[in-house]
Amino acid sequence: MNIVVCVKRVPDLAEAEIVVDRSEKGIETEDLVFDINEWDNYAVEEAVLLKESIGGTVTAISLGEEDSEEVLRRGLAVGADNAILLNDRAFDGGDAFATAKALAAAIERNPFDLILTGAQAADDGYAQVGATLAEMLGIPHATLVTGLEIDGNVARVHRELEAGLEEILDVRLPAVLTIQTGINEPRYVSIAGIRRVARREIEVLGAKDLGLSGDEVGAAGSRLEMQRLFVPPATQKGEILEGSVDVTTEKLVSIFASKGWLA
Amino acid sequence: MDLEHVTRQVFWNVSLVWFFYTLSALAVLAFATGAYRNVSIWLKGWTGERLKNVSQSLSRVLTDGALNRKIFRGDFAAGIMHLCIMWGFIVLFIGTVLLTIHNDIVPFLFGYTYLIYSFVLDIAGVVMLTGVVLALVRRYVVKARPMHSLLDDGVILALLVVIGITGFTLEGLRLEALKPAVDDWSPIGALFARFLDSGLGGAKAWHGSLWWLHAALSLALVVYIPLSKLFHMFAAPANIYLSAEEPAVVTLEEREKLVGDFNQAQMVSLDACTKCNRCENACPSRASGEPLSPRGFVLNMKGYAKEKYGFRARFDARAKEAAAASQVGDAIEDDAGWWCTTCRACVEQCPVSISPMDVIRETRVSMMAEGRKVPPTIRDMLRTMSKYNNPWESGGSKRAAWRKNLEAKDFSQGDEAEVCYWISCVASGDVRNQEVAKAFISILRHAGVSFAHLGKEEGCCGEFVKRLGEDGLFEAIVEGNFGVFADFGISKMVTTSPHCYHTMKRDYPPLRDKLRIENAPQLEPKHHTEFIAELIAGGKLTFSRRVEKRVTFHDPCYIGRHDGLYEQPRQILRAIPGVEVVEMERSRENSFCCGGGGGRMWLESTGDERMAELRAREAAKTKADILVTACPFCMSNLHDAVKTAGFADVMEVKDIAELVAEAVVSATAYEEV
Ligand code: SF4
Ligand code: SF4
Repeated sequence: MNIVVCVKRVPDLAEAEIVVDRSEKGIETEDLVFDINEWDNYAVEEAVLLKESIGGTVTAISLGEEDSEEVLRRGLAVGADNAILLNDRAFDGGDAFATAKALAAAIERNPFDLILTGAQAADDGYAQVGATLAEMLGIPHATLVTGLEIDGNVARVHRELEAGLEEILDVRLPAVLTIQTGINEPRYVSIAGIRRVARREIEVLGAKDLGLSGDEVGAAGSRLEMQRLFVPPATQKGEILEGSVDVTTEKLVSIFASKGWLA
Repeated sequence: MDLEHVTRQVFWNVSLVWFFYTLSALAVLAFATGAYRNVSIWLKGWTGERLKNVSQSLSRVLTDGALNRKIFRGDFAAGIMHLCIMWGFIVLFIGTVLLTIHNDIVPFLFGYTYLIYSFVLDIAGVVMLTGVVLALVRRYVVKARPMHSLLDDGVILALLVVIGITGFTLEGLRLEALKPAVDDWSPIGALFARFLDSGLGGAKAWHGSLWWLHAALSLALVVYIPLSKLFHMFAAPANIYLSAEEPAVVTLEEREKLVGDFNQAQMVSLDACTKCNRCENACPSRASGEPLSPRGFVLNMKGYAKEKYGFRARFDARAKEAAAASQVGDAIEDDAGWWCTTCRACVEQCPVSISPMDVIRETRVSMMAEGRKVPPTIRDMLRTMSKYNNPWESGGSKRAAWRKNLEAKDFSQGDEAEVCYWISCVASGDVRNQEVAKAFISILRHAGVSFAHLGKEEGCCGEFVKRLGEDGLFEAIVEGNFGVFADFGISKMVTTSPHCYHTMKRDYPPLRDKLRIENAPQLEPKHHTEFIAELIAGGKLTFSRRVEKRVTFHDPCYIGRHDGLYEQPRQILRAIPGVEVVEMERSRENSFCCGGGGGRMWLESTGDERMAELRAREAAKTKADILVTACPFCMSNLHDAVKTAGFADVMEVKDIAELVAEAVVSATAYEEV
């Protein structure tokens, strides 16, 4: 089974202080720490687990600048066999559609049975690349996958739905599955592990290598255009009443009274 | 009879001597093959390090090897038992060799030489048998301590008993049959002869068959040596020698060139294990009901090494393939590799200088590289660590903010000072430990020490990263920290954390050299107990208050067993007016770990009762008002445990710095630091 897994290098935003840059279309990245997109981390682990149980190859692929080699190396350390970096100025500023276009062209070059992506990216949160990619390749897809078994040329896919429901779908391969966090326990990638694959080759491809023209990819090939990125003004803070129950009750009643809510 | 010609007629009454020689040759060959297998596995760990401390190491072999020093520790009877078996065996072995020389090469056992020879051997036989009987009684009758006896433990003792008794019986029968004029230099043989005289006729016939039994069992024992724990007779002295050498810090780069999973000393140590189980009996994780056994671990790894590098893996194609694919992680059950708190209690106990702790850490290094078996909590912490240089939160901004508000100089703000106070991650992040930092700062101020901290430039020392086996990350951390030290010209350091202290003292310097870190200063780290003890000795601290309390000191593993700072804390406590010091049942080198080391802060306990709770109970027995410690991990764990174990009303937990601060400044003044 040939598995392709798409990965993205994103800034770690959970506890960072975010500053919007002057163009108002991006953020200052100077002080940020970058890592593999969390969802993609699970997708890579899932791909390697599949390979370990039923055999085959895993190819990790990423669209980004040179720094993105980092996340591809990580993939190799986990157990991917090949890594491809799509790096070209022409890819700059692409939306999910343009990104999927480049990925599709790269993936089509070799035979494949299964494509895994993270359910979404932590930075732009579009959650579109997987589905668009499937459409472009003309194959089925399933999103938000929380469990996966392969049986012949069928993927049995678990999806968690709202209200605690879970559904099981059979998806004919080849297919694209977008992976939800928690599907597995991704293994730890140590510095020693990364060093072990330090000299493995990463194939770098540009638009021309993929037979794509400059206006099919990047900003030119995009269908969405970023207008403005900003931090919304903070809504008014709530007030916390302190003191014993008696005191706070009294305060609360007087606030209600002052608002004229107590008839 | 003339005394000069007294001698033993070797192979008296033995027919088919050639057959015996053939058997012996085969036994020696089998022994040599087994020994070769074991030694060739040892060599898989060879890193090319030179032996440095020859005299020191040899003297350790003498005390711990020849004189069994550590077997006597805490168990005198065990010492006597082993010394008897060992020396009895050695003398009897030498006797056999001498007899062979006498018979086949140069006859020399005549007259007095022979009589002394036969006397010494007689005594050696009794000594050995006494030891073996003692061992049997201890192991199977009184069950001196938990030992997990397996079949081979019994087989070995049985062999020794039977060989010994048949030896004496043979001697008795020979004396009985030959009735030599001078036989009283073999007192035990003579005793046997007298006894046999009364009960048995036909001594010669009996002698003939018994001789073959004795010979066969003796040869079987020889063959069994390299296949069983008996091989410790070679591996143990070798291991004692190697372990006395400065432990090797293996860098990632060196490790890539290693053939085996363990270094030389560790490979040897696997064979040195005598299964005495002292390590397990001392292990705090075990005591708390967790599934870790240092002994089990060592033996498990011994099995792994034999399978991976033994003969079968070399000559049998299928085994070869399996061995090539086998990884340490596969040989370890579940989480067993992660329970160890690296408290060093097992190392302290092991009579043959094995460090189960290091063997466990080494398996962690392999499991880190494999990645699969790293527990999620540890995995996530290490990821945070590699991104943000501290284990708890991203950015470390809260910590830095707290440090900034301390009323102390800050190198990162351009201040200058003589000593760098390394606050540590825990002391800057945990509310209870922040109090300790404040107390220590107030002491430094009171004593007029020129000091500053590193403010926002202080990252993590990486100690637990090292103990967890993520050596690559640790190297990166060390390089980064040396860069910071170089930037601010820091070499003198003081810290309230035994972990930061230990790693900067023991792990940083060799890495500084091996990684060839440029401009890196020579570090002089001190633990605050050391530092305060020196301030007191130098008259820099004036105690203006009495602290009328009964206190007991919990020795943190990383200043105690790991670094031998047992006296300094006690000196400090005795210097504080009013303090009464009482010791717990287990203190100093026998101290019982709080459960915080070795990365265990990031792994939930699965035992019956947490280690810290066991320790709190022990402390409470001393009726102390204050349980004093000198480590932020101990503080967090014990502080919690005193509450959960129900002693919060009778006993407080304090850092030694807090007691000192109370006595020199005031109970509350340092709160304002
Ligand atoms: S170092 Fe301590 S916790 Fe680890 S195995 Fe040894 S005794 Fe047990
Ligand atoms: S490691 Fe040492 S203490 Fe533990 S069982 Fe083996 S010989 Fe005994």
